[in-house]
Amino acid sequence: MTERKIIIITSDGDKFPVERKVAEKSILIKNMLKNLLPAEEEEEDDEDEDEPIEVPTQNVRSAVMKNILEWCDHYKDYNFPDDEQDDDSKKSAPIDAWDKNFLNVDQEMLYEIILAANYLNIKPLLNAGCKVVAEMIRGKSPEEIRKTFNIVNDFTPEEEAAIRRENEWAEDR
Amino acid sequence: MESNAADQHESHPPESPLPLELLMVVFRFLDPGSLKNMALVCKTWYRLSKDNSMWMQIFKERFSNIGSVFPRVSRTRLWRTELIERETLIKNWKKGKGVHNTYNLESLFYTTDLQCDFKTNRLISLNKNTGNLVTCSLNNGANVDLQPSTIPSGTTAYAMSKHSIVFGRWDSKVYGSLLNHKNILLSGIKEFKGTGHRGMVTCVNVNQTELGKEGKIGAITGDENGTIVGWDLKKGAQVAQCKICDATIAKVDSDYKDVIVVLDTQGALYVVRNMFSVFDCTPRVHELQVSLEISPQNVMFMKMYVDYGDCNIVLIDENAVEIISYRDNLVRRFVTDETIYKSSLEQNGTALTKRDAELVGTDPLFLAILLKSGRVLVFNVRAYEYQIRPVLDILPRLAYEDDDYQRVVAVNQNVDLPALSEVAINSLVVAVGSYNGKIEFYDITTGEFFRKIAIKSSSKMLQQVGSQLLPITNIVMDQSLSAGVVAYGSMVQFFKFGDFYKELEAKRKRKNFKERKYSNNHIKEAIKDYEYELQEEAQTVSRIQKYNGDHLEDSDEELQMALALSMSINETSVDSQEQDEDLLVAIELSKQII
Repeated sequence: MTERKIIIITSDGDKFPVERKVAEKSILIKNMLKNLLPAEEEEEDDEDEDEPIEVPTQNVRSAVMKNILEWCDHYKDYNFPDDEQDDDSKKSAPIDAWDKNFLNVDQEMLYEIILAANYLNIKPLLNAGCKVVAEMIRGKSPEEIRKTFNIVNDFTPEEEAAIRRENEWAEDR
Repeated sequence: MESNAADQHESHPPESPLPLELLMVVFRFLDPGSLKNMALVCKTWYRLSKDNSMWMQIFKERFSNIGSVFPRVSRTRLWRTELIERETLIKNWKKGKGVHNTYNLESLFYTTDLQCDFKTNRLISLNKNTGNLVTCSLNNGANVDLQPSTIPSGTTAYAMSKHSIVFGRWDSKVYGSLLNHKNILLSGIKEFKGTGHRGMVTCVNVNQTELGKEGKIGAITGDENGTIVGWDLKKGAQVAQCKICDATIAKVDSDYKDVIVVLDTQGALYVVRNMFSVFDCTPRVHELQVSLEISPQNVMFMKMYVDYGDCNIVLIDENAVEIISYRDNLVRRFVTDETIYKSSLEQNGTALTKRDAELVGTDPLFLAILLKSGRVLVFNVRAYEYQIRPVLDILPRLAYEDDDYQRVVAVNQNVDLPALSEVAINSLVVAVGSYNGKIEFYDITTGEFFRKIAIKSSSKMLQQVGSQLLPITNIVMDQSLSAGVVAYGSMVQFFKFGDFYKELEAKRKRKNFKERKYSNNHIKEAIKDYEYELQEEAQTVSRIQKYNGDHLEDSDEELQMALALSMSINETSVDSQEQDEDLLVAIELSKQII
């Protein structure tokens, strides 16, 4: 018995045929498939068997999807622990080396991956992406943070001084 | 499709490419320093830094295991502030580089009462059996000032704070002294003026937070005839008195603003108001209509805490904790089948006198009890439920891993010592101490192990005391920083963890400077007056004493008492012969001093 093929269609119309367990790394797609195939796997006389299921993802362009699927493929045999419980150890854990390397892309792409991971509901990838961004903020002065993220300083010097004081005060309590 | 994609792409301007809800996920992974900086980046981020509900969510994700009721470390309503401070503190407790300064207050022999002022860096230590009182710099033991035999003979009750010490005697007299701001310490113990007491003074309470202005009550004493007297510490004179009941007063406590709580030996509780009023000082006494299960004979040995912020009286018996609300006369009770050995109440600045349920964590008040087996239970005194349940129940590793304890207990079947000797809490940490200088720190909300420290014990000192097990007698922690003081035997260790402390310390110093200058002048004046009075009085007293020849008698009596008391403390010593010798030496020494 062969598994039905799944084809992911990106916003720019590219088609990516993938294994089911790869696609199901995305909770969004997993739920979608659950609705499309209501426990019919066992039925032998299914004539649609060969017909692939097409999954449209309107918010993700193919360059990003390619990356996402690479990530999903890498972790296809890995079961991420169910949230909440060991959330604590996860947040403090450093970024996985493979993830770090994988996410070593230009900022634009990194953001798009994070946004796509959010849209597709791939929590481990979302967390890894956000950790990378957090890493870019860590230990930097406000000015350096602005530079990194191309943010314009829209404070007047007085405002900045006031907030600085406010920060100190909070710390002193 | 295609055009759609292009739109998508352009809808994220490069300045702020991440939508706010994702930025929030990013913030979840930031370290405390960056969380502080983020507010300074731009207006949008600043606005985010003020989004209290978002930070609450982030806080709850980061500390998913501490629930919604917990003692705040920052005393704030802002979740971001609490998050930053809590994380920094936890980091310091867990991994902060430790500074340990150990010093030996040899003249003290051992500590029974310890007062620490972290702000002014001052330590006051008393040995109640010899009456020796030592002050020194808190962090390094420098500038030691020793006052030998401060306790007047015939003392039946006493209490001390950072600012003063007060003694009550069997003959209804009350003595006391200021402990001043610098290390000069005492201006001498003098008899207070007032005739409110008609019998033995049975309990003393001193305002722990401040000395109190002239004319205001700074200490309260109770006697065997059911009368309480309020004293002005600066003048050393009675301000007000009030007859509460006919029984002996066992405990008295007050917020020194409005309420006095009195417990008598019949087990009756009274709330006294209007004793602090300047204009019309007619105290109103109200007996609480509650039925306590404590047995009256234990009352003198019980511990009483009062939570004025939420109107709770906490009584700790040999094996029960009773929390009585004097707002609605509700009694809650927790019984253990083990002996309760020690207890500690969180005292975070104004926490005891005020409650602000809007604070992060709803402003609970935690109480820790240490059972004989070493188990530590933590309760929320302000939990509003009929049954008291511990919010934390841990068995510290020290309770079963202390080699010294195990060895001694294994050899001596008849040694009956608790597994741990001391417990202390602040808003973040439970500290437990065992024997010969070992201490462990745990997270008070999760029970997570933070770290362990050991004071190097000199075997000479152990020999001196004639015991193989010298318990840690006092642990005092700074309420808001990762620092504290431990005392065992005559050894004292000051410890602090982490660098964050330095910044704060410097800032505090700057802040305190002004205050101190002001209060120093204030105190100087008061002390000048006081010293003059003292001189006069001391002269009269010594003349009378010389005349009566009872000076010597007094000190002998005192020594006898000291002897008896030290014996009772050192019961556990293995070699009593050695101990006796030591005591003889100690007596010789104190004789010389006298």
